Amino acid sequence: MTDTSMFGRILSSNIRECVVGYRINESMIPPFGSMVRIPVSHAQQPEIYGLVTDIQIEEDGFLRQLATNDQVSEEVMLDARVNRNVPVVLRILFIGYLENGNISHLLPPCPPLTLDNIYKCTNAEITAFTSFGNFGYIRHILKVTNVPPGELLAAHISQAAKAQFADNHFGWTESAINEVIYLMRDNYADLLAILGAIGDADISLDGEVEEQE
Amino acid sequence: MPVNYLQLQSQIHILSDSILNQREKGKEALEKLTDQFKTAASLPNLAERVSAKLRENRGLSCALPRDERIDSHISAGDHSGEIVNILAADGSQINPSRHEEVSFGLINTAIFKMRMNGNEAPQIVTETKLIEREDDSLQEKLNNEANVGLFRDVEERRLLSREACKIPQGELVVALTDGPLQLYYFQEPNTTENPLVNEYYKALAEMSEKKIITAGYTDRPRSTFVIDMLRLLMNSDPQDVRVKQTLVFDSNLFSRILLPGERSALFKLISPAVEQMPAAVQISFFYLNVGSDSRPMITRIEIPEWVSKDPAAIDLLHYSLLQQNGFLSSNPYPYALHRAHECAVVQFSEKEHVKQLIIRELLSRGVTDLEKSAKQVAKDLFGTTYRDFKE
Amino acid sequence: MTPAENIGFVIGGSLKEGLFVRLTVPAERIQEGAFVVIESNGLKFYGLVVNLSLKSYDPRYSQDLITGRMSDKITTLLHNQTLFTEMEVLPVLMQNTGPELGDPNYDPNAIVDRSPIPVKTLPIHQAPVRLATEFDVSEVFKPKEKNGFVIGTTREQGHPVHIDMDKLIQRSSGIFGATGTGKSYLTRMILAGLIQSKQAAVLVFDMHNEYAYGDISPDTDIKAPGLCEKMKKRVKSCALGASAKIAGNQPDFDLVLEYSDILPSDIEMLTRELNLRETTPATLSALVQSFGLNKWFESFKNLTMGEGEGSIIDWARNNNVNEAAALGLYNKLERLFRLNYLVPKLAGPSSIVKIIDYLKNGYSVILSFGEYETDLDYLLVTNILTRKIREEWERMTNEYRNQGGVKPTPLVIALEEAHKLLNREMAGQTTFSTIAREMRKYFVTLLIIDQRPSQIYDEVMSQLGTRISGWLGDDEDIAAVLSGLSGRDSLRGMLARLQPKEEVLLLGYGVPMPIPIRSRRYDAQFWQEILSEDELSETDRQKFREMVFDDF
Ligand SMILES: Nc1ncnc2c1ncn2[C@@H]1O[C@H](COP(=O)(O)OP(=O)(O)OP(=O)(O)O)[C@@H](O)[C@H]1O
Ligand SMILES: [Mg+2]
Repeated sequence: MTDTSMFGRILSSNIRECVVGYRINESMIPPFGSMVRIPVSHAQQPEIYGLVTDIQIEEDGFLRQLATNDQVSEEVMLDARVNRNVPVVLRILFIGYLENGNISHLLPPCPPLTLDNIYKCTNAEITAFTSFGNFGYIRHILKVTNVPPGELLAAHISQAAKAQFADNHFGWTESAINEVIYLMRDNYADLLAILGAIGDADISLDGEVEEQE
Repeated sequence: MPVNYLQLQSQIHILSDSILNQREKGKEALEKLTDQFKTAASLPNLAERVSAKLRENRGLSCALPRDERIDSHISAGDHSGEIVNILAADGSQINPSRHEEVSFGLINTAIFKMRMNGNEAPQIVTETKLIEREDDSLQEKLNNEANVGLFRDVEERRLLSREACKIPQGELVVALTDGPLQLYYFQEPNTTENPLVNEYYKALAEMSEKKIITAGYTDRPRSTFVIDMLRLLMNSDPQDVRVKQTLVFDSNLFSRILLPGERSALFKLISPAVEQMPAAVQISFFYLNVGSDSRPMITRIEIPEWVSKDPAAIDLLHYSLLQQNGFLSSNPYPYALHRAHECAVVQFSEKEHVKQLIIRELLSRGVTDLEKSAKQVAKDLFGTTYRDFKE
Repeated sequence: MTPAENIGFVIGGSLKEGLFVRLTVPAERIQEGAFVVIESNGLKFYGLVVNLSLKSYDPRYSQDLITGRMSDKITTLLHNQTLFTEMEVLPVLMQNTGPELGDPNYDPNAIVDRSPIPVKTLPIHQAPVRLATEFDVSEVFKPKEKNGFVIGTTREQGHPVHIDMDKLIQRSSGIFGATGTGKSYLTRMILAGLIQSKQAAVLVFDMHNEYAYGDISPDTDIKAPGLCEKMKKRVKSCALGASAKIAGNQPDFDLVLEYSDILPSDIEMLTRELNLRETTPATLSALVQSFGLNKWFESFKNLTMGEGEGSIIDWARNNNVNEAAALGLYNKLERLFRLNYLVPKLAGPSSIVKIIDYLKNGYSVILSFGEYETDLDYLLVTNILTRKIREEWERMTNEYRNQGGVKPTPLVIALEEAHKLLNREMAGQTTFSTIAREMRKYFVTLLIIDQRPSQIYDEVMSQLGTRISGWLGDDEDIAAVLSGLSGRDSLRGMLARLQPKEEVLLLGYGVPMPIPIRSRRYDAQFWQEILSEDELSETDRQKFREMVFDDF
């Protein structure tokens, strides 16, 4: 996303995550679980990678009024859909950073200070980050508390699988799921919930194999 | 803050007494005024009588009846299915502040366009202008908040006219602004030569030429033009007329006369300010009940001269306003105006962003003495709890 | 050699309990008894899979059936990581392989003793485990000298497994298994190998007439050839009784015993068979006293019933022997008096001497019992013959030792239905237990073939070096086969789960480590292979003899 109108401001941030307020068009909201990049304007700071862990559409009295009205014209509907910027609060979980061209799966050394732009990651960025190392960043996802980790993980794997697949990286999904199982097998109930979510996300493992042949 | 509640208690009692008393008086006054209004309505040559009274009392503001009986209550015709372009303009401003690292004013103007029955998504046009203190041509005029406000009004009108005129000839256009048509900040009669004011009139004149229906929408009006007219008629003592009866407004009177959806008769607005304005933009108005049976809600609609002379235009305006309000029926207000407002508002974060952009540009051009304060800004931002981003 | 695929890694264990290995391949690919190799820091450990158990990371992963709740792919991924098989390995041998070629510690001049030795330490945690390759199997089982014999193949991958013929004949050996598990077929192959290698002469007591001219398998209806047919030059067939035939074949010669061959101890040995009284020994010694050791049997036979001179009663009275006891013994010995293969005096040379001469000269002899199928025949003949052999080999050995004569030909006596001669009761009385215990010093050892090892006197059992066992159902039989060996518990189950007719377990001192194998097939191909093996020259043979018995 290169839309510069997508500026919000940090409502709060720490080493693990940040909460950002926006007023943006619904079509521009990065979906749940998607990978975003937070370039920080100060040169000393690394570029932080994160996942959208929550999207909260704030109370909007106007929409509420529209919703309770019985006569809504086509134009008003279209307006709401196409034009209106809704107040959105994004919660972003940090999963690593990029410093001097090197990817790290550690938490960033410092939280972002100003957050004037936030970008949806491109497929190339997702592939580079998720292929780096050995899935170290998954531990951050599993520790998320504000949403069920399985849901977040499923959303992430589903997005990353598509990116990896587009980049002809077959087998990534299987390795990722294996890593999740390895990390979570001590916790039967949670692991099954996570795998259930991954299953529901309908991530194609078969497709990859077929393509390989 | 410690409040002495004990001390307040007796005062609250007294205050309540006074409010109740005033309400009682207001009710009485309204009853009386209603009777007078009905009597006046049946008077022959009412307009002439009022004109005569006005000649006797120069410098007064009041309503002057036009062709319709003043107690008329008129429903709108049905225009459903017609393609009508509804335009609304609104603007917002940021006033220059000496306390900031860089001082700048900003005006953001939005036009909201919807083509009813055209099945298209509405369009939004915004224009943002920086007003810098050192701007020579405007320095004088923009040294106070009021002038930024005037600049804003002019921008709204200019943009509204420009966008309305773009619509192909032959299509119906209703162009709305919030508030009275007369310039709010234009108080001093001797500023006629103000180029901004002239631009405002120029914009109105363009719309007049294109016969564009335009109106100023005033929500919850506290005007007393009609009541003042009644007092002028009924009370021979001009001294008494000048005593403003603030407890009762025209809206109270018309909420007894207009059923939901009905408009009042058309009146010409007489005031010293309007008299200064060019003939084409002489202002007329009517009241419109946009409320419901249980809760009447009176608004005032101001229209320029060319609209007031065209009954079909008034009817379409009447219909369109009711339709627009219907989209937000629980708290009636024209949809298009609401959206224009939303689009025009400059968020705090946006303002900060603009400031950062200016600072960055200055830094890149080697302005080093700003560097420190720029860093300070960043530090201020971090970890500070600002107001919520909803503004 | 391509590197063998790892099947798992060591997760724990001890010298006492054995090693625990987590399998990384499906359980069905590994069987109990599989021969595995663990390489760890310059040491190679050889072991046997003794148990497999299904484990799970958390019991719920195995208890809850999640199939259907998730896609098959995800279920598979989950199960791969949470469900696994634990394999218990009995480490038996270890071998110093020295540092690898690329290792900084590698010294091309260092001499590493690479011979496998019993385990004294353990591999490190997580050392990789693999199935033994053909190379590994031959490292462990194939003797360095050319006296190995392929007895079968590993069950998983069919790598040939050798037994060391030296060791097989150095001590007495045993072949066990319930009836029909392939003992006789296996023995035939081992004997063929032995004969072909010229390492020893073999005397087979062929109770069921199957070794000389073969038999028709009751299971397959296929004729399995005998040793005499295939190795006519080296193997002589001998039938018990004058002009007897062996399954319609004319034997090379027959065996007829003279009365003088029978000693009182031969009779005593038949106590149970003949239902003899306690008075028998006294009566027998009186007989020897009266008629002499060579003549007692014939003379006793010639005594008459009734009274008067030359009668039994008369003899008894004169010799202070209880008349009833004498009469009783006479009656009981009637069975012997009637035997056709017992004659007062042979016209020609003694057939016992003939057998011994053949054996001494390196020929093998198969003595078929023909129609003399009773235990009495078997006990009597084997005992007399063996006693004579023992005397002869003792004499030859003493001569060789004292006067530096020719070294006696090593002799292997193959004994079917061994428990008849080596049970607890008999062991003291027959020559066999002596042979089993000490005759290796005199170049005679036994090859015991039996289906009831528990019936064999345990002192004899414990002397057996190489033991080869097919399936056994009886716990006592199993215990008997395993007596005196370590790792019995693990081997017990293996024995009970062998495939009849197909598989045997090799164990005992004669094999480097226990191993279950698929036994070699006894068929035309076997003979083709065995007969084409290069024959050893006479000097080789001599050299070999010295090697085998030079430990005393
Ligand atoms: N190595 C083998 N090659 C081919 N067939 C075999 C082999 N071992 C066993 N068999 C088959 O199994 C049958 C039984 O074998 P065998 O006669 O050797 O058993 P056994 O153990 O000697 O039985 P018993 O105790 O009754 O004498 C044979 O007839 C043959 O069909
Ligand atoms: Mg047999």
